[in-house]
Amino acid sequence: MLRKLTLGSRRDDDYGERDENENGVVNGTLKPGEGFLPDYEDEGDAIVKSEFLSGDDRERSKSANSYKGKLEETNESNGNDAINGSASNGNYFHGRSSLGDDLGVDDDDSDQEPDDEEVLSDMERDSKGNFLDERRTTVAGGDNTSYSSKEVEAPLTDKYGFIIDPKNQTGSSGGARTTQVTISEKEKARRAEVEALRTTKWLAMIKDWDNIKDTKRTRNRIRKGVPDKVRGLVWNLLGNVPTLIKENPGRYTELCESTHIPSQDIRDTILRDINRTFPRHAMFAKEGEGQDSLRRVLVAYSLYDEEVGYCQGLGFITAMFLTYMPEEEAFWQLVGIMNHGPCCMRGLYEDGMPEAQKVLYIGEKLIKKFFPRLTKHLGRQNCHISMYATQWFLTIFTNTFPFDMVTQVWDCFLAEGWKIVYRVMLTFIRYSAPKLFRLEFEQIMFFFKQLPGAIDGPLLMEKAFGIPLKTRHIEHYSKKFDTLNPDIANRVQIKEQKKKEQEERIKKEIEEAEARGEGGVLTTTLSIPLAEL
Amino acid sequence: MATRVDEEYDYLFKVVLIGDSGVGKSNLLSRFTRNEFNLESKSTIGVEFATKSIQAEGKTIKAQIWDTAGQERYRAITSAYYRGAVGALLVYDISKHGTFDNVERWLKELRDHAEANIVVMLVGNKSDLKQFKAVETDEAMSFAEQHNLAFIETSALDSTGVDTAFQRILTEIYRLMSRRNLAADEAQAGGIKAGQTIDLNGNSKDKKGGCC
Repeated sequence: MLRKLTLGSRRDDDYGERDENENGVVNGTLKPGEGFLPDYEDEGDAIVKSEFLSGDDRERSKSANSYKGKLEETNESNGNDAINGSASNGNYFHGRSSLGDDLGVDDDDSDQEPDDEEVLSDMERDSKGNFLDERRTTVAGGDNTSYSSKEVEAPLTDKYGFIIDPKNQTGSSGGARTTQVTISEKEKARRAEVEALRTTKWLAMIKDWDNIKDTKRTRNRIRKGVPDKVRGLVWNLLGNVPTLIKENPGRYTELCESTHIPSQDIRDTILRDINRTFPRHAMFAKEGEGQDSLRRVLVAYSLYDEEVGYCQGLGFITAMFLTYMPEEEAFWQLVGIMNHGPCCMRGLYEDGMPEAQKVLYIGEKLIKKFFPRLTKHLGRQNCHISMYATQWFLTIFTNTFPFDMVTQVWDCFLAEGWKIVYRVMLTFIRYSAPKLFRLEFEQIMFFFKQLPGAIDGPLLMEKAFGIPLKTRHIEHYSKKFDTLNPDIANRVQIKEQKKKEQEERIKKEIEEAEARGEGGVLTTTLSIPLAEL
Repeated sequence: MATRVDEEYDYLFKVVLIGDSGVGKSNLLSRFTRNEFNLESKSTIGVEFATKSIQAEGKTIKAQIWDTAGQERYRAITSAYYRGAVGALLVYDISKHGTFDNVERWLKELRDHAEANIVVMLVGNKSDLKQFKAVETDEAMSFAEQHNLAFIETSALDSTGVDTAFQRILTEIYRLMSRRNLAADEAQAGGIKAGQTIDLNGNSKDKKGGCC
């Protein structure tokens, strides 16, 4: 909370005239009336925006677009300090929703699986309800968006803290990171109301967390998206952060203050990445507290886990955590996702990146299974999954995609693990397929490059749960990969075996030396290679 | 239907950008292909891709350029991209000697994974940082001579040398290829006919049509 207050107050001047932003122009990125979704076609809502929104809604829109820290300072408290302390984005507590329920996903989420083959052909044909903005995936097309001079003058951030730069809008270049596609005012208001309703539900759930955390109902609520106001807190609970801190009191501070420093190579790589991680986010754009925190957490982790040290990609994930929680919690969250629970990401980043190869293999096979015809086309165009999906997997979408999608993926990823990652990948492919069929290699590459800027996050997530992907599909290809790559699959055992052999050899040498009466000398010289294992 | 991006060209060359992380590979690519430099650029995760066509000795040469993540362990993924590449720009940062020290390791990487006759150019980037220069031009030049590499200093920030670097390596590749084809022609009394394109692996295919 303190961290955000400081950052927020630094940017005080930026908020004076922002009521027009959410009401008139979607995050300052698109002109009103650029509807694209069949379901949510903008029928001039943006033009009659002032009539459409109630007074309360206007207030809400204004604050929803401000920087988090500012909100904590100026908005009325909702009376829950624990939640404010974690992270809060929108002041959603005024209006009660008249909507019956949340976004379309059923509570019981039966996850029915129709016959695979039938689904495949359907999926390849059908792209109704597309979350892609056609204009934003037009290959080799320029962005013709125009902006009023007022927006150009005022440096703004979106609701996640990303600086909005009218000249730099595409997702891949790191501009504003809320969904950039046009959404009607009506739909925006609906989403805000849903979020408010969910926040109320979640407040009750958090209080009763230990009893409800493993229920199907909780899982389904997570799948619908954790409200941003309670997200940091919920992520901590999902990542078991309070327990990790309790079990390792003072450890983070110890690592930060340690005189032991990472190798030159690791240190240089971290330092070079600090100002290349979310350079368009208010917290990380300039040297200062945000960048310092990021550096400390990454260095601490490299000492905590010397075998992994630091791997490019981790910076984005850690930075995202830091926008939701204090430094120490972000560190343990990182420890958690790397080493425990359903995420277990460590193998992606260790030397040789063995698990990165594995998830790319699984991803490739899943695309082939669900979209066999498209796979043939991509194959003919020499388009390999590692060309477009490497960064999706290594950062779990954090480095380029809109944050309303990214954070929702992470809600689910923290709770359930890798399935959501493949689901999202398959959803991209499913709705891009009709277009991809018509494209050649270079166009396909540009299409994927532009994809992040063309996505309506919440809608995509809704569609992602409609993909009939089963855990057994993933397990099947996972096992297949292990069979094909025994060295990678058994690397832990192989490493342990080697370590054991080495230890035994050293022990034997020491014993022999001791028998000759040279014990002390040998123990010190031999302890070095052992430590380096 | 999307706009067609492929235009008419005589040759298509695949080139990779390699070198330590943070030396400016991505900005060299964006400066060359889009004349852009991004002070707020992000670390490259995996690989990125861009193309540009240039004129060399009366021919249109299209460069298909792959920009790779610089961290050593990423080679597990990026080394696959060396296959079929006919050129490599091996980039170091003139203000950080460590990035020049690693050049030898990158050469080994190319020897292990790339085609034997790949054209390699050593590129000392960030030449605008004159006051912080840590790698002397003479040092780099003699290293390049010793290892039979082309050499240039560039600045993606102020554009110095960027176009020249790409122009030179692509022209060099073209000359080598023509010489090789000529030799093949003499040997087979056939070879590549007009209206055909040599692709990365030396196969020939029909010339691309003009933009529709």
